[in-house]
Amino acid sequence: MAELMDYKCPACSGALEFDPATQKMLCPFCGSSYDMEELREKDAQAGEWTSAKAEEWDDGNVAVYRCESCGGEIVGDETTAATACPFCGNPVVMAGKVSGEFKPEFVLPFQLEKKEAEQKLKQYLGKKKFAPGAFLRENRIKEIRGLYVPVWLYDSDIHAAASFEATRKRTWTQGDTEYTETSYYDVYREGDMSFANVPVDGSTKMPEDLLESVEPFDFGKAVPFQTAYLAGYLADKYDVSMETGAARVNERMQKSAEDTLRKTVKNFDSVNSRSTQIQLLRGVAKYVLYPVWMLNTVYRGETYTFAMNGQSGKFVGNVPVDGGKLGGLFAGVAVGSAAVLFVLGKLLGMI
Amino acid sequence: MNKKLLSCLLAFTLCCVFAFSAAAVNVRTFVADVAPPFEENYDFDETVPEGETFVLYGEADDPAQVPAQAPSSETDTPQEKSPVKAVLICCVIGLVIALIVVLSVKSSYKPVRRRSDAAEYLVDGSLQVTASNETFIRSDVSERTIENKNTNA
Repeated sequence: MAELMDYKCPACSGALEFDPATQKMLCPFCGSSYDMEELREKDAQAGEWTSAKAEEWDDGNVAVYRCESCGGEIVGDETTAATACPFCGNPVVMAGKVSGEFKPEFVLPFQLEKKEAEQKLKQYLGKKKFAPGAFLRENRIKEIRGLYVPVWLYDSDIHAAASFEATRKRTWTQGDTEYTETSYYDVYREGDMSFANVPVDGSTKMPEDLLESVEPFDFGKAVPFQTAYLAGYLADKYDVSMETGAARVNERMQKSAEDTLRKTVKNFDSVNSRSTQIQLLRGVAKYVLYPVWMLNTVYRGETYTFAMNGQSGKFVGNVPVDGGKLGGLFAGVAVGSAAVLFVLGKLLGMI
Repeated sequence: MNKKLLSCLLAFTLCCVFAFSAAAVNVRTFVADVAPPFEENYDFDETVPEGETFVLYGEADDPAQVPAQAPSSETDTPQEKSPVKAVLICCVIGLVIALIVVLSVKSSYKPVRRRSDAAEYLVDGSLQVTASNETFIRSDVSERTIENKNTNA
Protein backbone atom coordinates (compact mmCIF):
# COMPACT_ATOMS: atom_id res chain seq x y z
CA MET A 1 0.00 0.00 0.00
CA ALA A 2 1.27 3.46 -0.84
CA GLU A 3 0.29 6.69 0.76
CA LEU A 4 -1.61 9.06 -1.48
CA MET A 5 -1.95 12.57 -0.16
CA ASP A 6 -4.45 15.16 -1.18
CA TYR A 7 -5.35 18.39 0.53
CA LYS A 8 -9.06 18.92 1.16
CA CYS A 9 -10.52 22.30 1.88
CA PRO A 10 -11.85 22.39 5.48
CA ALA A 11 -14.67 24.64 4.28
CA CYS A 12 -16.06 22.68 1.30
CA SER A 13 -13.91 19.52 1.02
CA GLY A 14 -12.73 20.55 -2.43
CA ALA A 15 -9.19 19.68 -3.46
CA LEU A 16 -6.73 22.44 -2.62
CA GLU A 17 -4.05 23.49 -5.07
CA PHE A 18 -0.94 25.61 -4.69
CA ASP A 19 -1.56 29.07 -6.16
CA PRO A 20 1.59 30.69 -7.65
CA ALA A 21 0.08 34.19 -7.59
CA THR A 22 -0.58 34.27 -3.84
CA GLN A 23 1.92 31.57 -2.84
CA LYS A 24 -0.89 30.03 -0.79
CA MET A 25 -3.05 26.92 -0.99
CA LEU A 26 -6.23 27.87 -2.78
CA CYS A 27 -9.56 26.09 -3.03
CA PRO A 28 -10.77 26.52 -6.62
CA PHE A 29 -14.32 25.70 -5.52
CA CYS A 30 -15.03 28.05 -2.60
CA GLY A 31 -12.09 30.45 -2.99
CA SER A 32 -10.70 29.85 0.50
CA SER A 33 -6.96 30.22 0.80
CA TYR A 34 -4.58 28.84 3.39
CA ASP A 35 -1.14 30.01 4.31
CA MET A 36 1.66 27.50 3.77
CA GLU A 37 2.90 27.93 7.34
CA GLU A 38 -0.58 27.23 8.63
CA LEU A 39 -0.60 24.13 6.48
CA ARG A 40 2.74 23.01 7.82
CA GLU A 41 1.34 23.11 11.34
CA LYS A 42 -1.70 21.16 10.26
CA ASP A 43 0.57 18.71 8.44
CA ALA A 44 2.05 17.90 11.80
CA GLN A 45 -1.42 17.23 13.25
CA ALA A 46 -2.29 14.14 11.26
CA GLY A 47 -5.95 13.64 10.63
CA GLU A 48 -6.94 17.20 9.89
CA TRP A 49 -5.89 16.79 6.29
CA THR A 50 -6.54 13.80 4.13
CA SER A 51 -3.70 11.35 4.06
CA ALA A 52 -5.21 8.12 2.94
CA LYS A 53 -3.68 4.75 2.33
CA ALA A 54 -4.42 4.01 -1.27
CA GLU A 55 -4.34 0.77 -3.10
CA GLU A 56 -1.28 0.31 -5.16
CA TRP A 57 0.00 -2.50 -7.23
CA ASP A 58 3.14 -2.58 -9.21
CA ASP A 59 3.28 -4.01 -12.67
CA GLY A 60 6.88 -3.69 -13.69
CA ASN A 61 7.52 0.04 -14.05
CA VAL A 62 3.87 1.02 -13.72
CA ALA A 63 2.22 1.84 -10.43
CA VAL A 64 -1.57 2.04 -10.23
CA TYR A 65 -3.32 3.93 -7.46
CA ARG A 66 -6.96 4.29 -6.58
CA CYS A 67 -8.24 7.82 -6.20
CA GLU A 68 -9.71 8.43 -2.77
CA SER A 69 -12.05 11.01 -4.16
CA CYS A 70 -13.80 9.15 -7.01
CA GLY A 71 -12.34 5.67 -6.96
CA GLY A 72 -10.79 6.07 -10.40
CA GLU A 73 -7.48 4.54 -11.30
CA ILE A 74 -4.44 6.77 -11.31
CA VAL A 75 -1.63 5.30 -13.32
CA GLY A 76 1.90 6.50 -12.78
CA ASP A 77 5.33 5.11 -13.34
CA GLU A 78 7.90 4.34 -10.69
CA THR A 79 9.18 7.93 -10.62
CA THR A 80 5.82 9.75 -10.51
CA ALA A 81 5.63 11.72 -7.28
CA ALA A 82 2.63 13.97 -7.92
CA THR A 83 -0.15 13.90 -10.46
CA ALA A 84 -3.91 14.32 -10.81
CA CYS A 85 -6.72 11.83 -11.12
CA PRO A 86 -7.60 11.57 -14.83
CA PHE A 87 -11.29 11.20 -13.95
CA CYS A 88 -12.03 13.84 -11.33
CA GLY A 89 -8.91 15.99 -11.58
CA ASN A 90 -8.20 15.55 -7.90
CA PRO A 91 -4.55 16.46 -7.32
CA VAL A 92 -2.67 13.78 -5.44
CA VAL A 93 0.84 13.35 -4.10
CA MET A 94 2.46 9.95 -3.78
CA ALA A 95 3.91 10.61 -0.39
CA GLY A 96 6.25 7.62 -0.53
CA LYS A 97 8.01 9.10 -3.55
CA VAL A 98 8.98 12.27 -1.71
CA SER A 99 10.03 10.83 1.60
CA GLY A 100 13.11 9.21 3.03
CA GLU A 101 16.04 9.36 0.65
CA PHE A 102 13.75 10.84 -1.99
CA LYS A 103 12.64 13.77 0.12
CA PRO A 104 13.87 16.98 -1.49
CA GLU A 105 15.62 19.45 0.78
CA PHE A 106 14.15 22.45 -0.99
CA VAL A 107 11.52 23.34 -3.51
CA LEU A 108 11.29 26.42 -5.71
CA PRO A 109 7.54 27.10 -5.76
CA PHE A 110 5.87 28.02 -9.03
CA GLN A 111 5.55 31.80 -9.39
CA LEU A 112 3.89 31.86 -12.80
CA GLU A 113 0.54 30.39 -13.66
CA LYS A 114 -0.67 28.21 -16.49
CA LYS A 115 -2.29 31.11 -18.35
CA GLU A 116 1.04 32.94 -18.35
CA ALA A 117 2.67 29.92 -19.98
CA GLU A 118 -0.04 29.98 -22.69
CA GLN A 119 0.54 33.71 -23.27
CA LYS A 120 4.29 33.20 -23.46
CA LEU A 121 3.82 30.51 -26.09
CA LYS A 122 1.68 32.87 -28.19
CA GLN A 123 4.26 35.66 -27.84
CA TYR A 124 7.07 33.26 -28.62
CA LEU A 125 5.44 31.91 -31.76
CA GLY A 126 4.35 35.41 -32.79
CA LYS A 127 8.01 36.28 -33.25
CA LYS A 128 8.73 33.23 -35.37
CA LYS A 129 7.89 34.66 -38.78
CA PHE A 130 9.73 31.94 -40.65
CA ALA A 131 7.84 29.04 -39.09
CA PRO A 132 5.43 27.23 -41.44
CA GLY A 133 2.13 29.09 -41.73
CA ALA A 134 0.16 25.96 -40.87
CA PHE A 135 2.22 25.49 -37.70
CA LEU A 136 1.41 29.03 -36.55
CA ARG A 137 -2.25 29.06 -37.65
CA GLU A 138 -3.26 25.62 -36.55
CA ASN A 139 -1.10 25.53 -33.48
CA ARG A 140 -3.02 23.70 -30.83
CA ILE A 141 -1.52 23.15 -27.45
CA LYS A 142 -1.92 19.48 -26.87
CA GLU A 143 -0.88 19.57 -23.26
CA ILE A 144 0.35 22.01 -20.60
CA ARG A 145 1.89 20.55 -17.52
CA GLY A 146 3.31 22.24 -14.46
CA LEU A 147 6.15 19.97 -13.57
CA TYR A 148 8.45 19.91 -10.58
CA VAL A 149 11.72 18.59 -12.00
CA PRO A 150 14.09 16.80 -9.63
CA VAL A 151 17.46 18.57 -9.74
CA TRP A 152 20.79 18.05 -8.02
CA LEU A 153 22.47 21.28 -6.94
CA TYR A 154 26.21 21.09 -6.42
CA ASP A 155 28.28 23.44 -4.27
CA SER A 156 31.96 22.99 -5.03
CA ASP A 157 35.32 24.48 -4.25
CA ILE A 158 37.79 23.62 -6.95
CA HIS A 159 41.45 24.05 -7.71
CA ALA A 160 42.10 24.62 -11.42
CA ALA A 161 45.27 24.67 -13.49
CA ALA A 162 45.35 25.83 -17.08
CA SER A 163 48.01 26.39 -19.70
CA PHE A 164 47.65 28.68 -22.69
CA GLU A 165 49.61 29.71 -25.74
CA ALA A 166 49.63 33.48 -26.04
CA THR A 167 51.05 35.80 -28.67
CA ARG A 168 52.09 39.43 -28.64
CA LYS A 169 52.61 41.41 -31.84
CA ARG A 170 54.83 44.41 -32.55
CA THR A 171 54.79 46.22 -35.88
CA TRP A 172 57.19 48.83 -37.27
CA THR A 173 58.04 50.30 -40.68
CA GLN A 174 61.42 50.78 -42.26
CA GLY A 175 61.50 52.35 -45.72
CA ASP A 176 58.74 50.76 -47.77
CA THR A 177 58.71 47.58 -45.69
CA GLU A 178 56.44 46.83 -42.77
CA TYR A 179 57.79 44.37 -40.22
CA THR A 180 55.66 42.35 -37.78
CA GLU A 181 57.25 40.53 -34.90
CA THR A 182 55.11 37.83 -33.27
CA SER A 183 56.33 36.63 -29.89
CA TYR A 184 55.01 33.34 -28.51
CA TYR A 185 54.59 32.68 -24.79
CA ASP A 186 53.68 29.72 -22.64
CA VAL A 187 51.25 30.99 -20.03
CA TYR A 188 50.31 29.03 -16.93
CA ARG A 189 47.70 29.84 -14.32
CA GLU A 190 46.51 28.07 -11.18
CA GLY A 191 43.73 29.20 -8.94
CA ASP A 192 40.98 28.33 -6.48
CA MET A 193 37.35 29.20 -7.04
CA SER A 194 33.91 28.29 -5.75
CA PHE A 195 30.67 27.40 -7.47
CA ALA A 196 27.28 27.45 -5.80
CA ASN A 197 24.07 25.70 -6.77
CA VAL A 198 25.15 24.36 -10.17
CA PRO A 199 22.08 22.41 -11.33
CA VAL A 200 22.05 18.99 -12.97
CA ASP A 201 18.89 17.34 -14.25
CA GLY A 202 17.95 14.48 -11.92
CA SER A 203 15.28 12.98 -14.16
CA THR A 204 15.76 10.92 -17.30
CA LYS A 205 12.24 11.92 -18.37
CA MET A 206 13.14 15.62 -18.54
CA PRO A 207 15.38 16.42 -21.54
CA GLU A 208 18.62 17.81 -20.13
CA ASP A 209 19.06 20.39 -22.90
CA LEU A 210 15.53 21.73 -22.32
CA LEU A 211 16.08 22.21 -18.58
CA GLU A 212 19.48 23.84 -19.11
CA SER A 213 17.95 26.14 -21.72
CA VAL A 214 15.51 27.66 -19.20
CA GLU A 215 18.24 28.31 -16.63
CA PRO A 216 18.95 30.21 -14.47
CA PHE A 217 16.67 29.63 -11.50
CA ASP A 218 16.91 31.88 -8.48
CA PHE A 219 17.76 29.59 -5.62
CA GLY A 220 17.33 32.52 -3.20
CA LYS A 221 13.57 31.94 -3.48
CA ALA A 222 13.75 28.29 -2.53
CA VAL A 223 11.82 27.15 0.54
CA PRO A 224 12.17 24.01 2.66
CA PHE A 225 10.27 21.18 1.00
CA GLN A 226 6.63 20.74 1.85
CA THR A 227 4.42 18.19 0.11
CA ALA A 228 1.65 20.75 -0.25
CA TYR A 229 3.62 22.66 -2.88
CA LEU A 230 3.16 19.72 -5.22
CA ALA A 231 -0.64 19.82 -5.04
CA GLY A 232 -2.03 20.59 -8.48
CA TYR A 233 1.23 19.85 -10.29
CA LEU A 234 3.13 16.91 -11.62
CA ALA A 235 6.32 15.84 -9.94
CA ASP A 236 8.90 13.14 -10.37
CA LYS A 237 11.41 11.69 -7.99
CA TYR A 238 15.01 11.55 -9.16
CA ASP A 239 16.25 8.59 -11.16
CA VAL A 240 19.69 10.02 -11.94
CA SER A 241 22.00 9.50 -9.00
CA MET A 242 24.05 12.25 -7.41
CA GLU A 243 27.26 10.49 -8.52
CA THR A 244 26.10 10.32 -12.15
CA GLY A 245 25.16 13.99 -12.12
CA ALA A 246 28.62 14.92 -10.78
CA ALA A 247 30.23 14.06 -14.12
CA ARG A 248 28.07 16.63 -15.87
CA VAL A 249 28.69 19.33 -13.28
CA ASN A 250 32.46 18.75 -13.50
CA GLU A 251 32.26 19.23 -17.27
CA ARG A 252 30.55 22.60 -16.85
CA MET A 253 32.81 23.76 -14.04
CA GLN A 254 35.94 22.84 -16.03
CA LYS A 255 34.85 25.06 -18.92
CA SER A 256 34.08 27.94 -16.56
CA ALA A 257 37.38 27.48 -14.71
CA GLU A 258 39.24 27.68 -18.01
CA ASP A 259 37.35 30.83 -19.04
CA THR A 260 37.92 32.43 -15.64
CA LEU A 261 41.67 31.74 -15.66
CA ARG A 262 41.90 32.90 -19.27
CA LYS A 263 40.53 36.29 -18.21
CA THR A 264 43.56 36.72 -15.93
CA VAL A 265 45.88 36.45 -18.96
CA LYS A 266 46.17 40.07 -20.03
CA ASN A 267 48.27 42.23 -22.37
CA PHE A 268 48.42 39.61 -25.11
CA ASP A 269 47.00 39.83 -28.62
CA SER A 270 45.75 36.25 -28.68
CA VAL A 271 45.29 33.54 -26.06
CA ASN A 272 44.57 29.91 -26.96
CA SER A 273 43.85 27.20 -24.43
CA ARG A 274 46.09 24.14 -24.35
CA SER A 275 44.85 22.17 -21.37
CA THR A 276 42.83 22.55 -18.20
CA GLN A 277 42.61 20.33 -15.15
CA ILE A 278 40.33 20.76 -12.18
CA GLN A 279 40.57 19.18 -8.79
CA LEU A 280 37.56 19.03 -6.51
CA LEU A 281 38.43 20.31 -3.03
CA ARG A 282 34.95 20.20 -1.54
CA GLY A 283 31.68 19.08 -3.03
CA VAL A 284 28.20 19.06 -1.56
CA ALA A 285 24.99 18.19 -3.38
CA LYS A 286 21.42 18.88 -2.41
CA TYR A 287 18.21 17.56 -3.87
CA VAL A 288 15.76 20.22 -5.01
CA LEU A 289 12.60 20.48 -7.11
CA TYR A 290 12.56 23.12 -9.87
CA PRO A 291 9.32 24.48 -11.39
CA VAL A 292 8.95 24.13 -15.17
CA TRP A 293 5.90 24.56 -17.36
CA MET A 294 5.96 22.03 -20.22
CA LEU A 295 3.87 22.61 -23.33
CA ASN A 296 3.45 20.13 -26.15
CA THR A 297 2.17 20.80 -29.64
CA VAL A 298 1.88 18.45 -32.58
CA TYR A 299 2.65 19.39 -36.17
CA ARG A 300 2.61 16.84 -39.00
CA GLY A 301 2.80 14.00 -36.54
CA GLU A 302 5.84 15.39 -34.76
CA THR A 303 5.66 16.61 -31.17
CA TYR A 304 7.26 19.94 -30.36
CA THR A 305 8.01 20.48 -26.67
CA PHE A 306 8.36 23.94 -25.17
CA ALA A 307 9.48 24.74 -21.65
CA MET A 308 9.01 27.78 -19.47
CA ASN A 309 10.92 28.57 -16.31
CA GLY A 310 8.17 28.57 -13.65
CA GLN A 311 10.01 31.33 -11.79
CA SER A 312 11.40 33.78 -14.36
CA GLY A 313 9.17 33.01 -17.36
CA LYS A 314 12.11 32.28 -19.66
CA PHE A 315 10.59 30.40 -22.58
CA VAL A 316 12.35 28.09 -25.04
CA GLY A 317 11.48 25.50 -27.64
CA ASN A 318 12.55 24.46 -31.09
CA VAL A 319 10.30 25.61 -33.91
CA PRO A 320 10.21 24.18 -37.45
CA VAL A 321 11.40 26.46 -40.25
CA ASP A 322 9.55 26.93 -43.54
CA GLY A 323 12.03 26.22 -46.37
CA GLY A 324 10.12 28.44 -48.80
CA LYS A 325 10.11 31.44 -46.44
CA LEU A 326 13.78 30.93 -45.69
CA GLY A 327 14.55 30.68 -49.40
CA GLY A 328 12.69 33.96 -49.93
CA LEU A 329 14.70 35.57 -47.15
CA PHE A 330 17.92 34.28 -48.71
CA ALA A 331 17.04 35.63 -52.15
CA GLY A 332 15.80 38.95 -50.74
CA VAL A 333 18.87 39.55 -48.63
CA ALA A 334 21.22 38.45 -51.42
CA VAL A 335 19.63 40.73 -54.05
CA GLY A 336 19.10 43.61 -51.63
CA SER A 337 22.61 43.60 -50.22
CA ALA A 338 24.16 43.19 -53.70
CA ALA A 339 22.15 46.18 -54.95
CA VAL A 340 23.09 48.29 -51.93
CA LEU A 341 26.76 47.39 -52.37
CA PHE A 342 26.62 48.23 -56.09
CA VAL A 343 24.98 51.61 -55.46
CA LEU A 344 27.45 52.39 -52.66
CA GLY A 345 30.33 51.45 -54.95
CA LYS A 346 28.98 53.76 -57.65
CA LEU A 347 28.49 56.63 -55.22
CA LEU A 348 32.00 56.23 -53.82
CA GLY A 349 33.46 55.99 -57.32
CA MET A 350 34.79 52.48 -56.77
CA ILE A 351 32.84 51.06 -59.73
CA MET B 1 11.85 18.63 -47.12
CA ASN B 2 12.80 22.14 -46.03
CA LYS B 3 16.46 21.25 -45.80
CA LYS B 4 16.39 19.75 -49.28
CA LEU B 5 14.74 22.83 -50.72
CA LEU B 6 17.23 25.14 -49.05
CA SER B 7 20.19 23.04 -50.17
CA CYS B 8 18.91 23.00 -53.76
CA LEU B 9 18.42 26.77 -53.70
CA LEU B 10 21.92 27.33 -52.34
CA ALA B 11 23.51 24.93 -54.82
CA PHE B 12 21.62 26.52 -57.72
CA THR B 13 22.62 30.06 -56.72
CA LEU B 14 26.25 29.11 -56.24
CA CYS B 15 26.31 27.29 -59.60
CA CYS B 16 24.86 30.38 -61.28
CA VAL B 17 27.48 32.61 -59.67
CA PHE B 18 30.34 30.32 -60.70
CA ALA B 19 28.97 29.96 -64.21
CA PHE B 20 28.65 33.72 -64.64
CA SER B 21 32.09 34.28 -63.12
CA ALA B 22 33.66 31.73 -65.44
CA ALA B 23 31.89 33.18 -68.47
CA ALA B 24 32.95 36.71 -67.58
CA VAL B 25 36.59 35.64 -67.07
CA ASN B 26 36.61 33.82 -70.42
CA VAL B 27 35.22 36.80 -72.32
CA ARG B 28 37.69 39.17 -70.70
CA THR B 29 40.62 36.86 -71.41
CA PHE B 30 39.57 36.56 -75.09
CA VAL B 31 39.26 40.32 -75.46
CA ALA B 32 42.62 40.94 -73.81
CA ASP B 33 44.65 38.20 -75.52
CA VAL B 34 43.16 37.55 -78.95
CA ALA B 35 41.36 40.61 -80.20
CA PRO B 36 43.70 43.60 -80.74
CA PRO B 37 42.71 46.82 -79.04
CA PHE B 38 40.49 48.77 -81.40
CA GLU B 39 42.04 52.17 -80.66
CA GLU B 40 45.56 50.98 -81.40
CA ASN B 41 44.89 50.23 -85.09
CA TYR B 42 42.60 53.02 -86.10
CA ASP B 43 43.12 56.71 -85.67
CA PHE B 44 39.73 58.32 -85.76
CA ASP B 45 41.11 61.82 -85.38
CA GLU B 46 43.01 61.58 -88.67
CA THR B 47 41.06 63.16 -91.53
CA VAL B 48 41.26 61.52 -94.92
CA PRO B 49 42.15 64.01 -97.70
CA GLU B 50 39.86 64.21 -100.68
CA GLY B 51 40.61 61.80 -103.49
CA GLU B 52 42.47 59.42 -101.24
CA THR B 53 41.05 56.21 -100.13
CA PHE B 54 41.24 55.10 -96.63
CA VAL B 55 43.37 52.03 -96.42
CA LEU B 56 43.20 49.81 -93.54
CA TYR B 57 46.61 49.16 -92.08
CA GLY B 58 45.99 45.49 -92.17
CA GLU B 59 45.35 45.57 -95.92
CA ALA B 60 48.21 47.91 -96.94
CA ASP B 61 50.28 46.80 -99.88
CA ASP B 62 53.48 48.01 -98.41
CA PRO B 63 54.15 46.70 -95.00
CA ALA B 64 56.42 49.67 -94.44
CA GLN B 65 53.37 51.92 -94.43
CA VAL B 66 52.22 50.25 -91.31
CA PRO B 67 53.49 52.25 -88.43
CA ALA B 68 55.28 50.33 -85.78
CA GLN B 69 52.91 49.70 -82.95
CA ALA B 70 53.98 51.19 -79.74
CA PRO B 71 54.30 48.52 -77.09
CA SER B 72 51.20 48.62 -75.05
CA SER B 73 51.74 49.22 -71.42
CA GLU B 74 49.10 49.02 -68.73
CA THR B 75 50.78 51.76 -66.79
CA ASP B 76 50.49 54.18 -69.64
CA THR B 77 46.72 54.17 -69.70
CA PRO B 78 44.52 54.43 -66.63
CA GLN B 79 43.06 51.06 -65.62
CA GLU B 80 39.46 50.68 -66.74
CA LYS B 81 36.88 49.66 -64.16
CA SER B 82 34.83 46.68 -65.28
CA PRO B 83 31.16 46.91 -64.25
CA VAL B 84 30.69 43.18 -64.90
CA LYS B 85 33.40 42.35 -62.39
CA ALA B 86 31.91 44.81 -59.89
CA VAL B 87 28.44 43.28 -60.25
CA LEU B 88 29.85 39.81 -59.76
CA ILE B 89 31.74 40.87 -56.63
CA CYS B 90 28.58 42.52 -55.27
CA CYS B 91 26.59 39.35 -55.99
CA VAL B 92 29.11 37.12 -54.25
CA ILE B 93 29.24 39.40 -51.19
CA GLY B 94 25.42 39.57 -51.22
CA LEU B 95 25.21 35.77 -51.27
CA VAL B 96 27.63 35.45 -48.39
CA ILE B 97 25.65 38.01 -46.36
CA ALA B 98 22.40 36.18 -47.19
CA LEU B 99 23.91 32.86 -46.17
CA ILE B 100 25.04 34.27 -42.82
CA VAL B 101 21.60 35.82 -42.21
CA VAL B 102 19.77 32.59 -43.11
CA LEU B 103 22.03 30.44 -40.93
CA SER B 104 21.63 32.79 -37.96
CA VAL B 105 17.83 32.84 -38.39
CA LYS B 106 17.82 29.05 -38.62
CA SER B 107 19.88 28.64 -35.46
CA SER B 108 17.59 31.08 -33.61
CA TYR B 109 14.74 28.64 -34.29
CA LYS B 110 16.59 25.92 -32.42
CA PRO B 111 17.53 27.55 -29.11
CA VAL B 112 17.34 24.35 -27.07
CA ARG B 113 20.88 23.24 -26.35
CA ARG B 114 23.05 22.06 -23.51
CA ARG B 115 25.03 24.61 -21.58
CA SER B 116 28.75 24.31 -21.83
CA ASP B 117 29.68 26.29 -18.74
CA ALA B 118 28.61 27.20 -15.23
CA ALA B 119 29.70 30.86 -15.25
CA GLU B 120 26.41 32.02 -13.69
CA TYR B 121 27.11 29.89 -10.63
CA LEU B 122 30.66 31.07 -9.98
CA VAL B 123 30.69 32.74 -6.58
CA ASP B 124 31.64 36.41 -6.99
CA GLY B 125 35.11 37.21 -5.68
CA SER B 126 35.92 33.57 -5.03
CA LEU B 127 38.78 33.39 -7.54
CA GLN B 128 42.23 33.36 -5.99
CA VAL B 129 45.10 32.98 -8.43
CA THR B 130 47.75 30.86 -6.70
CA ALA B 131 50.29 30.51 -9.53
CA SER B 132 51.02 32.68 -12.52
CA ASN B 133 53.77 32.15 -15.05
CA GLU B 134 54.53 33.55 -18.52
CA THR B 135 57.49 32.04 -20.40
CA PHE B 136 58.84 33.46 -23.65
CA ILE B 137 59.23 30.70 -26.26
CA ARG B 138 60.23 32.27 -29.56
CA SER B 139 59.52 35.08 -31.95
CA ASP B 140 59.01 35.30 -35.72
CA VAL B 141 59.43 38.37 -37.89
CA SER B 142 57.44 38.72 -41.09
CA GLU B 143 57.82 41.53 -43.59
CA ARG B 144 55.53 43.08 -46.15
CA THR B 145 56.25 45.65 -48.82
CA ILE B 146 54.00 48.65 -48.50
CA GLU B 147 52.25 49.44 -51.79
CA ASN B 148 52.64 53.01 -52.97
CA LYS B 149 49.12 54.34 -53.40
CA ASN B 150 50.24 57.30 -55.56
CA THR B 151 51.57 55.19 -58.47
CA ASN B 152 49.00 56.52 -60.95
CA ALA B 153 49.33 60.13 -59.88
